[in-house]
Amino acid sequence: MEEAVNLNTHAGNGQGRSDLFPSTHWSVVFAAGGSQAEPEMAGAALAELCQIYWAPLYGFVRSRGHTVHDAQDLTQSFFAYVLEHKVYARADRQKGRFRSFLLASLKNFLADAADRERTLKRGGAQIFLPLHEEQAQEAESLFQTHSGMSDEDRLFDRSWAEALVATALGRLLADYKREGKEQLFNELRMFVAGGAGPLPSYTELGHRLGITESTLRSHVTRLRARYREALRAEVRRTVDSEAQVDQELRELLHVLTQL
Amino acid sequence: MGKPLPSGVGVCSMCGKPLNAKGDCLACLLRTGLDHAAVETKPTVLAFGDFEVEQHPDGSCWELGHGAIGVTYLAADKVLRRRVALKVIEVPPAARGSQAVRDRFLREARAAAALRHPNVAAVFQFGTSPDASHCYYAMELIEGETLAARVRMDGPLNAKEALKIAIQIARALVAAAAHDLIHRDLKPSNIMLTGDSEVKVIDFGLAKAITNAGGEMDLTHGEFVGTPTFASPEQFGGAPVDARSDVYALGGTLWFALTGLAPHSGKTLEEIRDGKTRDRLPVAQLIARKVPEPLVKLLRSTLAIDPGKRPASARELMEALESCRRNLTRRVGVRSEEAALRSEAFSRALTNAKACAGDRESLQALFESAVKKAAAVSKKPFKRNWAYLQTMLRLIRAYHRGEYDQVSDDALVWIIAALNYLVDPFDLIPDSTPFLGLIDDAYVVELVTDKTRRTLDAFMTWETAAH
Repeated sequence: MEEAVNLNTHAGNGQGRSDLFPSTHWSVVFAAGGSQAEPEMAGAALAELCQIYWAPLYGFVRSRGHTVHDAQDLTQSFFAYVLEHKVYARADRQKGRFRSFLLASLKNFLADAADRERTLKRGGAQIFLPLHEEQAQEAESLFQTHSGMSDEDRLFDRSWAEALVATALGRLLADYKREGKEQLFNELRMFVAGGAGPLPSYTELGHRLGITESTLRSHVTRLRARYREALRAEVRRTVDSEAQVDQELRELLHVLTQL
Repeated sequence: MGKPLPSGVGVCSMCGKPLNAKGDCLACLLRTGLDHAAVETKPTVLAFGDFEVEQHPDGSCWELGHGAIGVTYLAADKVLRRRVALKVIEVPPAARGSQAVRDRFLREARAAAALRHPNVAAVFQFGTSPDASHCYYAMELIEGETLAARVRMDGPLNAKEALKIAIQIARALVAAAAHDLIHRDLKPSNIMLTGDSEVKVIDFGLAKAITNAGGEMDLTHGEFVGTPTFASPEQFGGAPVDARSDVYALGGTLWFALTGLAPHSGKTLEEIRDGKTRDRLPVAQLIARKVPEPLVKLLRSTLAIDPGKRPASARELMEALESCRRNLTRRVGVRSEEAALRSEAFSRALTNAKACAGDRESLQALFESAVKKAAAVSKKPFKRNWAYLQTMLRLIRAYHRGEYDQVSDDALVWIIAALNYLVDPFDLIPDSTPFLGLIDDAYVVELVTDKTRRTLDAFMTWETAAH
């Protein structure tokens, strides 16, 4: 059998789809912070990122001993503070990543009692980010799962990784749904997300799904490629350069393997 | 370092790391982002000789069908730049080293490729992969569906249409006999039907070639060649097989077309074999479908256990089938003059529409004349065809506005013909003149239903989604 492999990507692949992802790159926030050119855009970009990574910050606040309600208020207030005071404008571009920036900012925020008091009051009256009950419950549940971890920074990083992959998987699922392939996604998800049970053989699964082994292999390859691109696109939004995508992923993976 | 991570729902079977609360492995999920092997490349192109398997937009191979013996793909002939149906059969590892096996496959495939007939899908080329792991043959690509799919979709056919198909299959068998070829695996899924119910028998003479190559048929049992449900009793016993096996299989295929069922079925090879050699034919199935008596009689002889009691040759069977059809046509002709008038009206409308095909202005004029006539008549005489009429009008209007371009020119001609037919015979036959779904007007149903209803259904789906 002759096989021809072309390393070029083709239409409809992850690269072509990347425009579906919102262009809320961290670099946009940086750029706006520096020039004040497009504050609305930067604010919107930051607000969306904050929404996605609400749970890790909430977990961090909880790990500092605050009650559920206080932690919710503090997290909301922190975001309001960041957005309102354009804290991102003071961010050091060289330091790069959104994750580090957010954690450092949160620590400063929590350390500054007077500021906290002030923003707590303001945040209570003026909530910039909508907080859904389900989101709050999930964040609390995540915190409870990992509350045994003594290192609060690691807890934050782990929660961050959870939020990151959940967003990437969610976006990918939405793509498959749009293509009418939700069932296929659910059947093949384990090839990306792993699981407790062993992976089924291609022959067995192909038979169950009524497709040939070669078609199944091609679906799995494609799912992995698309997930990889979705994940990297999500990371790309929180770092300042393509090179930092790999670095960010390695760091998060390192945190997990150290646990 | 903190305390050990609380266990989630277990550990990952792939990397051994703890799973999260959702049962996902966070480490695997992150690692994939760094996995350069997961970078999407153009999916591997399956290629066999001059043929490249085509792919869907999502990169999967474009399968036309698959069974236990292999997969049929849509493929491109890189040399002649045409599309073909490419059947690929995996050769069992034990048979791959055998030159004799390879030679036998090529000999049989060569014989099959020599057969050229309008009712046989031509075999263009055949070969084996360099590592002998696969053998393949490229066939004429037929735009249509299998008889099995047609019956599954639309239900059993009426006697006239079933006979029309069976006669064409018999013609193919007659042509094959001249080449001393036996199909050996004649069955509804090997009968392709084009939109006009023209028959193309596929895989002619290749069942033996496949077996020679070490491939296995649907149910492997020693030297069994064929698909058990439609195979002749002698194919089960390893007795010499001649053209009368194909006669038997054609009988089974015709039975299926008329009833939607196989004359003998079973869950195992043994059950099917026993049914064929012991049980009486379930003729009640034919009677329930009001199959005319001469055809029932012909099916009894065609499906006789003893080959000696079957029509002796494909030609004899073809003549018997044609005789049945003549009887049927006479009966219908005597019974209904109106049907003949309607058929004539539709033929006239179709001739007009076809004459305008390719000339958008003429087609537009024809359409507008039909629209005017349709607008001038009231809903009442059209009864249940009214909805179809309205849908046709909407479809053609949307087509002309450029909103709906998913209708082929061919289907458009038929729709305009149907539209004119609906309007034209109104004066001629001022009664309820339904043509879609009416059984007694077999000719018109046969022609119009398939061409228009699917197009209209697709249009209605589009319209519903669009609005």
